Amino acid sequence: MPRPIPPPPIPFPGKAGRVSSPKSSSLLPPPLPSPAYAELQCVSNFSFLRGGSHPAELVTQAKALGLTAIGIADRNTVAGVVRAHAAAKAEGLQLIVGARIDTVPQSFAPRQKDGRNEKLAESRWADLPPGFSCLLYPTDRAAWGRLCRLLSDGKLRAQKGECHLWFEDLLGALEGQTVIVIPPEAYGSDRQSSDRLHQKADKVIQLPVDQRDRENLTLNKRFETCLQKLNQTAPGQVWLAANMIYRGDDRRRLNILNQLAGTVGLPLIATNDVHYHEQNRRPLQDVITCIREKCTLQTAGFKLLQNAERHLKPAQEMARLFATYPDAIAATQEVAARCQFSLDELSYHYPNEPVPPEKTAQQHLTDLTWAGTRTFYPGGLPDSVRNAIENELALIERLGYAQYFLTVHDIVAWARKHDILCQGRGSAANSAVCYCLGVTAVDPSKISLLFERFLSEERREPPDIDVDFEHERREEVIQYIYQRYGRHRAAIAATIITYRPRSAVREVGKVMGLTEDVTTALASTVWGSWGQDIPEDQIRQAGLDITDLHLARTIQLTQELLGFPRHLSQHVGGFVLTEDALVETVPIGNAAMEDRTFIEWDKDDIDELKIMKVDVLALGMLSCIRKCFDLIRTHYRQDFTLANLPREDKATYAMLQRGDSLGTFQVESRAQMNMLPRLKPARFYDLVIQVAIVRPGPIQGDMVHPYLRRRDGLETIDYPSPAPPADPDELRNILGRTLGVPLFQEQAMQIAIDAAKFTPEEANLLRKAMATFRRAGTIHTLQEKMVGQMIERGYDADFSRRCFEQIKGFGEYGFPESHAASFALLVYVSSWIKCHYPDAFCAGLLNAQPMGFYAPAQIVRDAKEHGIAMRAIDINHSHWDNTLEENHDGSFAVRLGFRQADGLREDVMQQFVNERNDLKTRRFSSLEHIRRRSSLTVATLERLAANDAFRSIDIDRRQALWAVRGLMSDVQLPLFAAADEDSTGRDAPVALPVMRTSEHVVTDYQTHRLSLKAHPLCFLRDTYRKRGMIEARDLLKMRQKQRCSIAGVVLVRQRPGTAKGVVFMTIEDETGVANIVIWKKIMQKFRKTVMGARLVKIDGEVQRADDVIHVVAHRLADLTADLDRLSDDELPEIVAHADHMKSPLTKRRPPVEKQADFLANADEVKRGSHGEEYLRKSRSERHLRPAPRPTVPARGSHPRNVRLIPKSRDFH
Amino acid sequence: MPLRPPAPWRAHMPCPEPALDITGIRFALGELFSRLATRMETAAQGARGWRLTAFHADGGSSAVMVRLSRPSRDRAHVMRLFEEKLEQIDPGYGIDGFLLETADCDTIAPHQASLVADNRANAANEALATELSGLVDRLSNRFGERNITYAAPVKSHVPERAWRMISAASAGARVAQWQEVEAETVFRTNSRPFRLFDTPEPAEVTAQVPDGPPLHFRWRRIPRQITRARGPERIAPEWWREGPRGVAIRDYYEVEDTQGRRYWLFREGLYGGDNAPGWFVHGVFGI
Repeated sequence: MPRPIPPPPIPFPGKAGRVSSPKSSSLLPPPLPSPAYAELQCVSNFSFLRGGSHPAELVTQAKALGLTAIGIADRNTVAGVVRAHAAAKAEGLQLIVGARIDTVPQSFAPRQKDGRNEKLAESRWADLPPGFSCLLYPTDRAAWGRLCRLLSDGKLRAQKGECHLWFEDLLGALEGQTVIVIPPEAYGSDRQSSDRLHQKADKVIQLPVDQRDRENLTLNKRFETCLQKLNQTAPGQVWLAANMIYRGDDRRRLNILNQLAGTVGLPLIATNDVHYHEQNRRPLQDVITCIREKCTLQTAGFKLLQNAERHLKPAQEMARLFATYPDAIAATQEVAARCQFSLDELSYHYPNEPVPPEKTAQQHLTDLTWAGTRTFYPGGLPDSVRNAIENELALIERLGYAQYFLTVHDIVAWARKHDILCQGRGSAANSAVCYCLGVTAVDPSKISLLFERFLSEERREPPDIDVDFEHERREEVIQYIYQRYGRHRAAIAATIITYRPRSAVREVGKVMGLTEDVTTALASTVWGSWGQDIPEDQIRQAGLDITDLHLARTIQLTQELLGFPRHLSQHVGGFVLTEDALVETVPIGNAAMEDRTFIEWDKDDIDELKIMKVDVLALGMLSCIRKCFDLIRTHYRQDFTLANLPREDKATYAMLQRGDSLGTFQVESRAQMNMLPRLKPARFYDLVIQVAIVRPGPIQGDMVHPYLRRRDGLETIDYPSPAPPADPDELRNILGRTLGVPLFQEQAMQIAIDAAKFTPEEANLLRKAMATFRRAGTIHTLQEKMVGQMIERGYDADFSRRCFEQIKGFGEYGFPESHAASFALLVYVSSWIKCHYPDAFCAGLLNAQPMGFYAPAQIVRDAKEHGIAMRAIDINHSHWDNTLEENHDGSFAVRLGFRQADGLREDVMQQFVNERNDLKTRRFSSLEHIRRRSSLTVATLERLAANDAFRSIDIDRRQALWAVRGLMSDVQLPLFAAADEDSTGRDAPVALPVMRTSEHVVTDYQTHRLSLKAHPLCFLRDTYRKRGMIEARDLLKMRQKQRCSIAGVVLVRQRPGTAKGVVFMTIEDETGVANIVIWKKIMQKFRKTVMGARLVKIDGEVQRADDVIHVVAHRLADLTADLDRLSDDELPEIVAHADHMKSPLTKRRPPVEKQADFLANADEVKRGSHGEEYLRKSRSERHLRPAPRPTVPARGSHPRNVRLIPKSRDFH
Repeated sequence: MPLRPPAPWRAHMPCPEPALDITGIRFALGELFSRLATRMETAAQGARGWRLTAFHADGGSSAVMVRLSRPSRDRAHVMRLFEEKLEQIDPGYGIDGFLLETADCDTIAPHQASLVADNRANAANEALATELSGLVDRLSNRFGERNITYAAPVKSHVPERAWRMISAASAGARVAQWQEVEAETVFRTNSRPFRLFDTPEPAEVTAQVPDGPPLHFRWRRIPRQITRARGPERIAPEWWREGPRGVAIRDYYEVEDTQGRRYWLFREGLYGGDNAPGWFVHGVFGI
């Protein structure tokens, strides 16, 4: 195959002519001395779909061009200012923060007296003449508060994403502001004003004055009136903006504006209406204009700007353009000098709420803490814990954070009072005070804690406590917070939804005029994210020609568009609480959900500004545990809680050591399950290590194997000691619990503190530097310091260096021990329940879906393997939830509930169950009986029939469907209803063709996603056996490196980001699962099969390591067509939630949707692979992010129509 | 014969004796037209296409078709259009029957002639429009629709792409299109020349760098001194159309020389780049 010709360079128009270039310098005039200029009218991409550059890019470019200051004013929002602020601090450039206020069109008309005005959707504003626009730059904190209040008023009046402001509102918020008025585009560009300026008429034929001219005249007059009013209200604070953007009549317009300014008495100021930071962004800006206007480039016409002059220009260029009005340039400096407000001034106060009036916050906290010790340490308080508490309380007092802890305690206490399970997580678990307050569950006497990890004097940042609640009841907690603090003091943080690769490809492709099949083909080459390089081979495989210019442009524009914000959405749980009005710190807007408001800044912004937030998160496993406890209480009459569960149960650990962990918290993923038999956890701390170690980072960093070897006794551990008189066991104390292998961030910090005698603050710097070491250069100074100090204290030089190297490489995957400990507790609890009450566990887990790694089908299969009887959905026995039914021998079987079926509503089925309970026999005897005595509609009955729920009245699926369709419409004839008789009489029995079991199975999968009758593969087993394929359970008997051929339905596909392109696939057949490893070369060869097949055949060889068996694939074949033989209908997907095709990995923080069903699916593989990117890119210290919500087909849509993964496409 | 759906308005006339020459055909056409027109008038309909089919005695048929740009049932107009085409029907052994069908029917609002001509401008416009469309019809039917073209506006910033020639018969609301484009133009003081050259003609220009207006220039071997100038109006190329070579940015200037003539000049490219920019005259304001 000939080498592909590299695509030609994308020919965007070149940069603007450089004013001084060595070649043609003779032509050009000598450059003027560069005056000081500040660009004050910039729009970033946080004016959604208008700006073409990130705020940071604008700041960097401004600094590079030598501007003295930059003012970024987005339209009716301040969402991007914090990012600009961070960039400006890093670059050392003055940033002027503010916003551009765009009032509603025709806002010149005064508002109605009764406050009602026609609420126009913003999408229709383009047709109307524009309203009054100006930039507001606050000069002090109070003015910033006024600006935020103004924006909040406008946003709360309108629906999500819009802001309706009138001119009168603007007049009320002017105190302390610097106002730069932006004249309408048409001002100065029409014929009337030009005639006014030049006394004699033009020699051009005078065209008649038309409607448009008249409208313009009115508009101009109104604008002038408003300008007058503005100047009267705020004299000395108003400037009039003028720009020279090569419109053709620039000079004339400038003269007209100058005249206007002179008449009204305002100074002129020079701006450039910047939309993007450099000229090369013009194509992207055109593309996003088309996305906004919903047209293609070909049909956009005049909606695109005529030229590319709206970019940041150097001061010299601006001076040259405004050579006739140098005062306008000087005015920028004047404004920059006035507006010295910086976001650093936004300090604020914690709410005082939870403190009883006679005590101070610190006293109250102290009292609560000591009271807590009596609850949690009934046998006496150990000295270590006492010391820890005293130290912590002292630090809290010095830093003044008592109120923060009290706020969190208050929320947790309220939740506990209402029986909502909750648990703190993250670095907060390092605090003994939090344990005694009941916020976290990690006992300081059992796990060693490092408080400095959580809170330190040097950092001056408010602590960050995250609390997990049951995901179904989290809404109640949120409403409590709103109710207690009020809407003006509490609001949820925002999250910025950015363009993901697939959506970006589709949008850009549509704008560029590509047809839908081409854009879908492009989008399908994306697996998660594109990264930096374009997947050329994949695009070629999809059938597209990468050398095509148009396509190359599309791809390049898409890459530029990635990461652009699309809109704001409310964050999943971060609450911002203040003592005084939040609305004066940041604007608040409406969310799409009823009764929800959120601020404009996201979590990183809040961290940057050191504002306190409380994270109210949801954890699916807590709901599951709660449901299990309820079931155990009902059926087994035992009352368990998180606290009184028996600890260190041998049977539980034995179960985990076998790797039998499906459904348990954290350790159920494929990677974990494979590790469990090797790591063999035998006590609680082993679980802590298990949670932390099975992630790609530690595996790559070569932590796992040394640990395993030492654990098995194959390696001896020796801990170097410092010179006396230091404690020789220093390192042993720190690393002993992990057998000498540093696993946790706290250990690294502790080594720095103890062995190298760092102060806690320096240790913190070290931790931060570890997280970002690839970017920042601070790691070197710390390296020298640490190594030097260790050597000084008597450690071996070589060892010190190695130790540091290990810690350095560790920064990417270091896990906080406290967090691992919090999670380990839940691992233990869920495993204990699974071990001792597997029936309740199965039912509880199914009731708490969607959550976890596996889909219900796998949970049910696992339960059956453990000998639990599963019973199908039935109208006479099922409830909405999955329940337990007693068997004759006292054990329980799990009865599937109506919630498993697609398309049934909870309220409807609940009423049905109530009606069933009202019957004398509590059973329906026939279909007509149901019709008469229950309120179910025929549609619901049909759905129940499709779910095969009528077996208890001896009708199978086909007969039930037949019978239901024969039922008349919903109207009941009263006479028959009174007599409790059927109105139609008995039908003659009809002999229907018997439905094959395979058809039953397929329909089961279609209607309730799992089948209790058989696995689809049983029906194909005979054929496959003849073809030499083995079953999954035969793998146990195979030897290492033995060749085999196995087929199964694809369950999970995962490609951990750091595993060098290796794909892990899990397939399932009727006997069990098999784990397949697909190396990169095979993946490239069989990519389509991997991504698209639903039934796959693997030819490969077996790889055994202890009890863990993998099959390394050599060849794959797509057998999806065989599934179609089972039935006329299509078998839907039965992949697990964690499948990477379904819920792709993302490099950045994944977008969290606004529904409350947030899941903390902490699958290490998933977490780990975007953990590293995070730690490099995220600005805060938190390295734990919520995982993307798995997509489950929408309830209510017909299962047959749901296609979870598109079939593989063939474009050749 | 392709199967066509029946036309909404048709009239059929069998001939008792075969028609042998053009007078007969004309007479038949007139008769059929009157019948149809009366019926269509009641329904206030007009048609844009009229087809006369003649069925020959020996079994064949021939048809002639007339297209109009506006729906009409005006006898004089349609008959005149048919006149030129009737010769195409060769009677041969005689014509047994005629069929007159319509295509593309549309409602014609009945037009009330005002008793007092108050709005003369509107009335004049209306009359002009009708006459113009009549002319266009006649020319289109004589020369073929594709040969009568008309300049329609295209919403593009680049001047040579701002218009395109489309077939006049399908033009529709001509004036309205241009008015709409005019309405969307924000910067109305930027005028466009009366005559735009197909290919811009090169000129040698002296101008102040980097973007000053021209001071004097030489075009078609005549030096011209510039007294007044307006600009620059920078028009960037449409990047999504360009090939690998790329097209440079243009700065347009409207200039007036000492004789009072106005030209539309542009400079392609910017000073300071790799290639020296070129100056061209793109059009003149005048004949």
